Amino acid sequence: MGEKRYVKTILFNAKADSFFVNLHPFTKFAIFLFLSIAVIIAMTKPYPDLLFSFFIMIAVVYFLIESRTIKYLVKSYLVLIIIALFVLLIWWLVFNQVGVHVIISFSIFGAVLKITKESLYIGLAKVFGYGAMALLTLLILMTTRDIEIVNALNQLGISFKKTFFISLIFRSLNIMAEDLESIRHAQFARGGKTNKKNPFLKAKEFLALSVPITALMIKRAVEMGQALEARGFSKAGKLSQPVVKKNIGLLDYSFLTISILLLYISITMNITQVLGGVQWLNLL
Amino acid sequence: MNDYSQYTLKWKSGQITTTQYTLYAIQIAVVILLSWLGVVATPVVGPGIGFLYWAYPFFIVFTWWWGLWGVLSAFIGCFIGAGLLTGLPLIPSLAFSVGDLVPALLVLLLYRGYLRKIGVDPLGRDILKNKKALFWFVFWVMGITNIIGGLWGVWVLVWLGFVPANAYWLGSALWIIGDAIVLIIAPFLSRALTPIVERYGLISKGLIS
Repeated sequence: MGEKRYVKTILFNAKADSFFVNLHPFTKFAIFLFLSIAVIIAMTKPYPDLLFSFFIMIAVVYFLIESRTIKYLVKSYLVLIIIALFVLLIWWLVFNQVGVHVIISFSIFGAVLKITKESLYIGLAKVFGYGAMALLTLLILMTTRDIEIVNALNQLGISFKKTFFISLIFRSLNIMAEDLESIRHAQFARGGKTNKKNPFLKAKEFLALSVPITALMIKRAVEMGQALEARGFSKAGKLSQPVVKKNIGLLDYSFLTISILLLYISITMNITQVLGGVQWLNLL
Repeated sequence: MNDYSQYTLKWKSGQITTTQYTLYAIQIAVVILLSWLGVVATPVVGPGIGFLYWAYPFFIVFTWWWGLWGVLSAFIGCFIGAGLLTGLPLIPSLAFSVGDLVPALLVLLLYRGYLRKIGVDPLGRDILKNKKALFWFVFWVMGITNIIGGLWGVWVLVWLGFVPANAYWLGSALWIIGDAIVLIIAPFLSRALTPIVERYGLISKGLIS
């Protein structure tokens, strides 16, 4: 009782009975497409719809929590996304000098930079928009299994060799990442580690890594090719039936309907303006 | 003496073996991995852009070796590694990845089309010893095609509202300079490994085989 079952996904693991894990890959693709378009429309309006993007971001965060994948945002390299959001805000504040309601003004190398209520609003709208899409992408990657993609392609009637080619790409990602790490560790052990800041020296350092990783890649391909051939790959016909087969159900239709509704809202209205966003600016 | 005339722009030159089939898949995985590493390790300007984009020299060398498969790795590597895995959504990632696809394609066309006819190695082995090859590498690979990719990639991000319009030129400059720096690796990689790839019979003489 109370046991949490997890499934291995493209990135890390997710709770087996969570909403997104149980969606069909086609549904996830459609949600991904509709919501991306909706958020881009919201972000690029003359008066960006900050609230719409914020709402999508909060909804995605909820599903990250529900699928028990939110922890990877802080425990893994994905934390870089949060840093990237902060960097994005800085870029928008520095390079988007608009508005007249100055909050703060300062001088750097003789150039006067001002942060206005308007530039801060636009910067935050961009950050929420990008944040919503970035987290949605990660949610989908962290709740989808590579076998599901292969099965979905199989359901579309794509030939065995093409489907297997795509599955090989996904499966090789982890293998090559481990190989790269092993080579790096081997080089560190031989005194190869440096903390050079100069990009030319960094490139030179990477050269020492690039030759072995490429050689190893070729070696792996040759071994894998021989193993496949030994199992009669070139004579193979159709792919065997999927191990995990999913059908599109009520849950999928519900999510699809909500996504289409959100896209419609994004196209036809500006929630921030409807709820008095202009007055909010004056509160800043 | 190498016979450059065997590397052409013909669609097919023989069957794709099982080893080549696996190799083409694995090289795409490597480019995805390196694209992602380049973007998350040295982020600049906006999402999907890394100053030292380590995948660039790899997909150039893979394009010299494996023709359109190298071009495909440039596109998919950027789409998944620098796009989706860094959180860039589907449509921006697709549009943005054209910034890697076009340079790789232009490199393929020039090396397999014109340069092999004027005595430049279409596999890039002679860049460090032949002035003509060095000129074309700097002018075409580090220069023209890289500039086209940089201007396009940052323009897409500006157009979609991810990067402020005023940051366009700075963003493009950082993209182009960063890529030019990492491209220094390409001639060394080609010189060190092309003989091995050739010995295994894995070079594509046509565009796809």
